[in-house]
Amino acid sequence: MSEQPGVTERDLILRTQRGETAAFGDLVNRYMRRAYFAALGFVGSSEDAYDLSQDAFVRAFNARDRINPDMPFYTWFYQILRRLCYNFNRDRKLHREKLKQAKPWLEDHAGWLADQRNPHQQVQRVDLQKRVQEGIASLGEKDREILVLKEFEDLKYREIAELLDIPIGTVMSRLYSARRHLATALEEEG
Amino acid sequence: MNSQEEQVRLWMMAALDDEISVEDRRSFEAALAADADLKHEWTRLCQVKEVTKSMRYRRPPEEIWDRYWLSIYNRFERGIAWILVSIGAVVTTGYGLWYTMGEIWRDSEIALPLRLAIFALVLGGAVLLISVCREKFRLWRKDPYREVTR
Repeated sequence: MSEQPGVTERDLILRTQRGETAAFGDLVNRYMRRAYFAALGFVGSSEDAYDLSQDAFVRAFNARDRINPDMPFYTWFYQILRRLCYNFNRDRKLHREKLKQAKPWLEDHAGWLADQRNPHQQVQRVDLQKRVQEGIASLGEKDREILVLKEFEDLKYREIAELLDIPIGTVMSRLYSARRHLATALEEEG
Repeated sequence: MNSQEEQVRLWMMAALDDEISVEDRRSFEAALAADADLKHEWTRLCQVKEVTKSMRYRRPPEEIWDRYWLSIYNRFERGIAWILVSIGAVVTTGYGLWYTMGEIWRDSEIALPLRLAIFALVLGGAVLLISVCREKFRLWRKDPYREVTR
């Protein structure tokens, strides 16, 4: 299904509310990558992120009457997605341990580009990547969410505050707490 | 942590993420110059920022996006199919029970006390089932935390 240029999100929401699955398909196409990566930041596993993000879209469609066409769709959708991911992590026993042992869900983009010709540095970068992943896994849910939104989704403070419906000051305080925790985790493991 | 320290932490985050105003940056740099511990913390957090900045999400194979919507659509279809199967199962089971009860009642070869006992068993089971379902439904409706992440 290809995205139609010029069609507004509001139109797609209104058509979805009339039961047009094709319109909802366009919304899915617009946000599927963002939803997948947001879930990946929560659960750290590609398969689970794929499954949870799809489940969130199914629930969003079932609750389509509650979408406000005058508000951004993703902000509303994100509440469903994060609740699913929180519940998933709660239900997954010892999820932190599993997250630490999960297949890599981050990649060292800058380091890989710089160190391709230096195997020793490459090994160091792979080790660092693993430690960052483990450090992030050891954060509390809320700190982890803020850090992931800032660092890997590259959102501005204002955007994070809108998405989570919290003041900008709270975003910054949680980010500070997350980074301090991560700094300590990296020092301990290094 | 007092409010001045809290303010410096917030400036620190804003400076790291390049969301600080010129005026606040000036105040922040003055605070850094005056406090060695703060400067040490700033260096640590800059290192963390440097590391996380170089990382990104691992990209999945592009093919998964081609079948993403189709997979969601299949879930819709299966959801509808499950509803239909459930309705069908409830109706056919109910009819089967009703029919069997009628047959037993009309069968004069089965002793009356046994027929009554079978009726009592089935009726009791049905009442129990309805009662449990009703209780669960009421609990669910009144649960103020049903939408809350526990």
